[in-house]
Amino acid sequence: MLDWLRQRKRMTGGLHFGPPGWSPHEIENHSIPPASPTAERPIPPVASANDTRDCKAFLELLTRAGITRTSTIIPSISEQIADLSDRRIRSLVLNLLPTQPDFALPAALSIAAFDELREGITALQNFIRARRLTLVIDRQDHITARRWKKARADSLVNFEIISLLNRYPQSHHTVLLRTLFGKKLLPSELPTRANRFVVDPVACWALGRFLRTSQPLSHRPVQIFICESPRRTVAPRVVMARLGEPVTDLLRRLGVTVANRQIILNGMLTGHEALPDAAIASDTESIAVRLLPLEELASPCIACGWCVDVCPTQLNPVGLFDLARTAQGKRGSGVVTTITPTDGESLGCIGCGLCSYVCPTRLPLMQELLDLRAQAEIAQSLVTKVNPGLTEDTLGEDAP
Amino acid sequence: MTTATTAFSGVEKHAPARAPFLVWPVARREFYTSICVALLPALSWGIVVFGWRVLAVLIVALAGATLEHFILFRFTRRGKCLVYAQTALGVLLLVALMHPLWPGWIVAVSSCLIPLGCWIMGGPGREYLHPSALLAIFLTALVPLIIAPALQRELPDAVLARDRLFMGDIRSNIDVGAARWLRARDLDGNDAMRAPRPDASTRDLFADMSALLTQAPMTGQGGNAPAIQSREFLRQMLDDSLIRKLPSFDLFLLGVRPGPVGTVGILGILFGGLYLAYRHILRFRSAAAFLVWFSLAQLFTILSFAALRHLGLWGAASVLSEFGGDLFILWIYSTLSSDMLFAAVFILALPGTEPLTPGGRRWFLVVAALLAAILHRINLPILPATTALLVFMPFRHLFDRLFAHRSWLAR
Repeated sequence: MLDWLRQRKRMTGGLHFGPPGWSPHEIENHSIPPASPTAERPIPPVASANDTRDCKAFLELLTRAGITRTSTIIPSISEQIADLSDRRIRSLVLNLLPTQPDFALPAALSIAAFDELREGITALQNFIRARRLTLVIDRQDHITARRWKKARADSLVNFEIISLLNRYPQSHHTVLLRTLFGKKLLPSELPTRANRFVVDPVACWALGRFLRTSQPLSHRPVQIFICESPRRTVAPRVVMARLGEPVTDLLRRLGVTVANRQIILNGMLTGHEALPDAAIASDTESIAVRLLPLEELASPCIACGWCVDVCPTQLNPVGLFDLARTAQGKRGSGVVTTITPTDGESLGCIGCGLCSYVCPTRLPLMQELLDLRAQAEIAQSLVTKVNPGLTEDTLGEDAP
Repeated sequence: MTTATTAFSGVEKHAPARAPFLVWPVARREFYTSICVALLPALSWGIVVFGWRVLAVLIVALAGATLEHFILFRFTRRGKCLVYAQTALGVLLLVALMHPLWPGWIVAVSSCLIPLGCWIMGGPGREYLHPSALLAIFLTALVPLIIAPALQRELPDAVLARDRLFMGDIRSNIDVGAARWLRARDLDGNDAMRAPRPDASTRDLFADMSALLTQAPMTGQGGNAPAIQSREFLRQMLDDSLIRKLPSFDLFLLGVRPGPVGTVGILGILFGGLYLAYRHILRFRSAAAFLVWFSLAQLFTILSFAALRHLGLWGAASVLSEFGGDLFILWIYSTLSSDMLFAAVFILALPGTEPLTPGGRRWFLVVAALLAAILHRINLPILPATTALLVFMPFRHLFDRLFAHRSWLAR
């Protein structure tokens, strides 16, 4: 009860979109070829009794498996393992929260590929030797919760399950570590810095699949959302998409019209519009196809404060927006700008897009904030090069 | 929302749009429309209890403001930034804050200044003050000065008789006190009954109590309680107020009392507030904090400083123990009879009234509520809570800058 209250208190801002309006029944074209008795199964490295790990061997395994970044917001396994060195990891977190509203990949994988998921997380735990193995599940995702609870009851894996009300962007590692453990981690920092290891279900599935069948990551599950017209939406589906395949080819193969349509990759809140030559990448989680929308013009901020209310990291998006616009004006007039403590606040922007989503005046808040953050990151790296002892807390005050 | 500039396929040049590709379906127009809708129950009750005249004034004012809005919108470049919902809301607010007996022409002319004010400031989002609330405050202060010499008396405060609701003429009134809600035949054929406003009654009573207790001889063990005669006299004053001068509590809650048109219907204001909180336009915490701070500050203004100094700690405690129940009821009358509830719901719901950040908001509400309580206590012909919020509104950025909490990532 106390933990629940603490978690509620820690999750500031965010927006609850409710459970997804659909539940996947299967992953189309998903097949697990039986492991060949003659093929040599890869042996995952494990930590030795005195907790020493062979990170190089595990990275090599990941390279062979072709596992790179498989989620847009969760750092990849290889990035975290490269940063692992001899850290004592307190928790290995399998993040089964949907990364965007209406996403249902965790449920799809739990239905269609549970064994691979379990094998992947077990291999990771054997290598990392975290004190706790934690599964974070959306409180309203009953399919996933049921599968994992059954596995725990069968003593297949020893883990704890934490059910959270999935207020978007709860699944972002910055927000998740704050909610679960009260840790403060900038979006650019890896969870290993807080002695936590966060892994997304697709990476885990890919690892487990490689260990079972020696198949590298050549296909990945992708969610397809199609809106034929404002009144008619086709039921979403999860399909296996080949990495490197052009998005338009995949859509044509699925019988989706792409002419005069807007194609959006990786979610409506943080994704990006696909260029004509866009291909399926290892971190392509979803493809949305819709008619071109009408343009809505931005108008001056009416100071409703909704962007401040929903910001999960308690920033003042509209204040930073004004700052970004001022900085743009100065750059335009040839004035060299330096990073200030207020600019430094933008480093806390996780780019969830909620501020722009709720803005009644349709200001491009997130876009400007991300630009400001990029500048702040460049300035920070320059400051760190000049004075390596300078931390984020002193950023700005001593900046040249 | 940014969108692709060209169609997806078959086009040489393509500018990819950036997220988010979805927006919450509430634009600023819906924002103002929602506040208009929330105002309707309180305003409707005002029309019922003060008569058709208020409705006529509202229609004329709305027509004038609408005409001016469209002239500005059609014939000026700057007029393109105007939003009609904001103009309509401004007129509704002005009528809600007006005295039911204000001359219609004054309200109609003033309402024409609302779109003009928005136009001069540059439309929604660029206003440093809400033109309608500002006009209401000025008119509350100025109209009695203009009207009183002509009438050779102050504007009477009245409500319609219970069998003359809506259709009665509030100008036909007779002084009978506020204790009961009478019928027209009990009013010698007049349509309305004149009665003092509860906030004025309680203010006078608190002043009289303070004057009495300042001069009351102290008796009892160690001279720590007012003399028995003073206490009896105080009892008479309280009884007289509660029985004769103030309306009964059920009538008070129902909204049968004089006051600005939109502020008397407490239930209507509460319904409006619930609707706005449901639409996320009113922050429930802000409204509650403003009410609590105002009420607490009111508590400390019941007795004057001179009276408290004369009574001392034990004397004040003995007065409170003997008259605490009555004083509590009077405190509720005093708190609810000002425009405090109205301001806490509708003025705070107006975008731009309060600071953006929770820290800035907290301190803004504290100082605004304290100022409102002080203005309510001193006898000035203004709307205390609305005035207090408007006084600090231009400084909301300062509150944000001084008291805003940093992100938890930077703390």
